[in-house]
Amino acid sequence: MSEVNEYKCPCCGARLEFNSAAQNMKCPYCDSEFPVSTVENYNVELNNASGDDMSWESSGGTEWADGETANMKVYTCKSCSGTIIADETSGATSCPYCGNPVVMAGVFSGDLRPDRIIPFKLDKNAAKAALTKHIESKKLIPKVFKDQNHIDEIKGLYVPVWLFSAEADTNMCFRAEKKKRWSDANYNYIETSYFQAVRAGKISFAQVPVDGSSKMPDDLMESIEPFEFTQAVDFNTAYLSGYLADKYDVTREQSVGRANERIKTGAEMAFRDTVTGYDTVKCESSSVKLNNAKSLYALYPVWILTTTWEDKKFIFAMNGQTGKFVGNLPLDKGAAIRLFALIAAAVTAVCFVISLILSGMGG
Amino acid sequence: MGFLISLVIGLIVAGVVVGSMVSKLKTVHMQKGAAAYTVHNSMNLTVNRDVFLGKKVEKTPRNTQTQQKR
Repeated sequence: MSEVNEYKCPCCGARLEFNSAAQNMKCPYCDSEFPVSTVENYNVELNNASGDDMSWESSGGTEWADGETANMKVYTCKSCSGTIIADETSGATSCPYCGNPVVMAGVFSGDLRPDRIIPFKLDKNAAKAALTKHIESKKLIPKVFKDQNHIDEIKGLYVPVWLFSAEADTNMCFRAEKKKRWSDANYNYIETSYFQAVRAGKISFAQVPVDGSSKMPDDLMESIEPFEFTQAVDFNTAYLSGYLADKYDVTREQSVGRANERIKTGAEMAFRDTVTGYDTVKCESSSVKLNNAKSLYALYPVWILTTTWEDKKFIFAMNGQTGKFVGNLPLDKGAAIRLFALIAAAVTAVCFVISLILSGMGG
Repeated sequence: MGFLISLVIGLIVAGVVVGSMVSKLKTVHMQKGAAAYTVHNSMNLTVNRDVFLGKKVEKTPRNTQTQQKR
């Protein structure tokens, strides 16, 4: 039995039907007509660019050497059950994720040893200055929030990340449109020309990070990117001195999905940039095959501060390497309404006076 | 009439200014893609083909809202 193919309309994506009168493929929804051969080639290209092969070699992290973790103590937070590592001399008193007290649970053991670490480049004073600037530059946050912030409690924390590197072998189809407008005495015309842009090739990504800690919000960690991996060094416990460290509780296997999503989107964006000269461009199908896909386990430096306001938790983070600072702030609705009314009244008054002057000059 | 127009302008300007300030309070978001981690000069385009599929003309009478399709 022969296979019945369904052909998609290049204009609207609906199912095309053969029109015997016109001897063309016609869309019953948008009335577009296309030659059979054009539609067939269009759909063949679409099908070619579908299906991914994004598998990764099992790598990243090594075993700890004997005695290497002897000075590393584990602290747990009874409130959020976060697990923090600190060396014997530094210690830890409060949880960097929720601010509640932590208790020492014992000597660190198990898990994998990070392959690489980016040491802190910016100190606590730089982090405090960045936080102060971040808060002071925002006009509509509650005054009490500014008063209550406890900037001194900002903590240096090494956050575990999985780093993914691969060459993406891609095949993509984009639908592009070009519009031309003109008018005559009776009508306005819009001519839309439809194109299929086929792109294939390779692009490499290096050390795409995925947050390895369930306590560290993923969006917060991604907001302080990028990290400059060229400054990473081989891991040594000496770098942890004076700082806290989190150990991964999101495995490499659990992180692969996000890595694939970022790499596929990154490849699509890069190839889309080669489709130029159109008014609109949309990716219709894409396939990505990964070559030489490897991963590493690393620790990245983050200055972190947690503040609770009106029973809601606010976390601020600064990239300990570049100084990029982020953190959502609450809105003082009263202040926003007052400012809105003030600006509206002032602008209305000015415009009204100008309109009176202009009408006076005209009359 | 002049006051009403002034009021509308005032409300729009206030909305834009306050809206801009409110949007700056949110600085946390997931990244799209991995552009920052693209290996420099690693992109190699092996297929680069644009195919014209067809065209469609829509015309609209200049004095009415009715849209006709050819």
